[in-house]
Amino acid sequence: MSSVDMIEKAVQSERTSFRQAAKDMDSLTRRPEQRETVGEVRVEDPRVRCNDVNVYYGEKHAVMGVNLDIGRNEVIAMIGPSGCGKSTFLRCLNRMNDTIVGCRVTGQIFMDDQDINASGIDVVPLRAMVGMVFQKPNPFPKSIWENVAFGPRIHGLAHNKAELEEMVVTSLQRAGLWEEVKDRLEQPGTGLSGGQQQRLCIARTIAVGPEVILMDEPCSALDPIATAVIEDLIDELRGHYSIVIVTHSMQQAARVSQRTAYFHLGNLIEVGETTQIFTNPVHKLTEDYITGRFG
Amino acid sequence: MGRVIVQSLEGHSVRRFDGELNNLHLQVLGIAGLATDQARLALRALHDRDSGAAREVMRRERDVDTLEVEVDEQIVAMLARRAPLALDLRIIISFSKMVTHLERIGDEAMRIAELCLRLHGAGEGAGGDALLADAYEMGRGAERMLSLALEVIDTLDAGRAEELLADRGRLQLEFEASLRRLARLTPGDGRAVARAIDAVLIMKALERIGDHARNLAEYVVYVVRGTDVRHRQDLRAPRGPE
Repeated sequence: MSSVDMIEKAVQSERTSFRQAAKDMDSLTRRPEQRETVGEVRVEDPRVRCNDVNVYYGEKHAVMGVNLDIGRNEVIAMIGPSGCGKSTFLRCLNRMNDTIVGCRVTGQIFMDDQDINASGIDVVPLRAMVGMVFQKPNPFPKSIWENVAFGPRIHGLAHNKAELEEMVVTSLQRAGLWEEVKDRLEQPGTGLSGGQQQRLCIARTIAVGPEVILMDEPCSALDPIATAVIEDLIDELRGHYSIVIVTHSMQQAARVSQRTAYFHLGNLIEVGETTQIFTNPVHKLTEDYITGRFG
Repeated sequence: MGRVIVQSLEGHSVRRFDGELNNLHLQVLGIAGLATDQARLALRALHDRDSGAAREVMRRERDVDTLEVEVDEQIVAMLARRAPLALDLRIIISFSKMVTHLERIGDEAMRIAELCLRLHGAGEGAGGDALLADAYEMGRGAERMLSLALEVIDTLDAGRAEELLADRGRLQLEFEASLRRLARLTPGDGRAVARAIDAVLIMKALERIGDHARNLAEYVVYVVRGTDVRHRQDLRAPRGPE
């Protein structure tokens, strides 16, 4: 090979390396793309129907074109790595994102043929209908009784004291807390254990008669026993409500839910029966995540 | 045999889990290798009238049992520690089932070895030799299936596993044919009938080894594709002539 040939070959090789580097750089800086969801996103007679839901935080496209139904009397688990958009999507369901400056939501979320994002929708009754339980229990600095009575009172749900009393008792019973607090209802809610406080928050949510309960990592601050009690409760609550739970615990999602949705970089990647998702997921991204191969 | 892993067990964020899964895979391969070797040795005992080989099979049977218990302990520990899901769950559950089949292959090899020793004790020329020759031929078929099963356990190659599953029913048909030949033997020749019955029992053991090889392939398909192909009508062995 002549010197000229060698130089030409070296230049060619450099060009190829440069092209590859430019390609790599492009793939690194490219924004995440919208992906098709694998699995059946629709259910028969849904309680909530989401069509092409997008969430933007300023320029950032945090949730991309999510289509998903929430069934009646089902627990659906949202899983995915931090920052994948699952909690952001959850907050769309009761318009909690409205409170975040610079956040914009597009698409339709139907409850009873009514788009909750439509103009003129009052978010106060919406948030009673779609209740929310947060990661850390956040009881009001009031008595146990007042914590539960507060919601029905401000929403004007009770016509007299007896009705309010019944709502408080029923809610505490459904939240599985009645037997533990019935003799100390006047004591502060903040004096309860972490697990009891979380059940008090669930009782507070139930008291205003929701149809959907959103739970954002409701057990992450609880010990395994308190977690087991809440998980058992979630299964009982399913008889009355639709429940959407965001969790980082794969085992919890597998234990409590009937359907599971996997989010990745703002996309709903896969949705399906929980057993199928945890034994034989279709999408490689789902499998990599739930088997701990997520890089 | 080249280790071409079609389905990778690695890539976990917890690297130690990669190591545990690979170690488990090697342990299962170890039992598979030993079980296959047991079957081959039993076949040699049959073909070469090698009583030493038969005794070696019986001596090593305990090794298969010991390995099975070790793998089971490892699997229980991994289930408790790692709470595996999806592919990992399918792999671990399948390995757990596979070792049971491999241990039974070892049992069948020992049964063949015991029968060989009895046959060798009766001396040559005692009759029933045609059936013994048939048994050996059938054994070679079982051995081929077992070798393929060993390969698919090694590579976790669902395509090769399906090839094994497609090779259905030949051993069963041969076994049924041997029963018909047994029925044609002259009832008066007691020694020949006794030897022929032993030959049929060997064939039955070989047919079971073939079944276990197919079961192993079914679990490999389950690991890779997530599809349970056990008891599938379209994969069932065809019935032989009545």
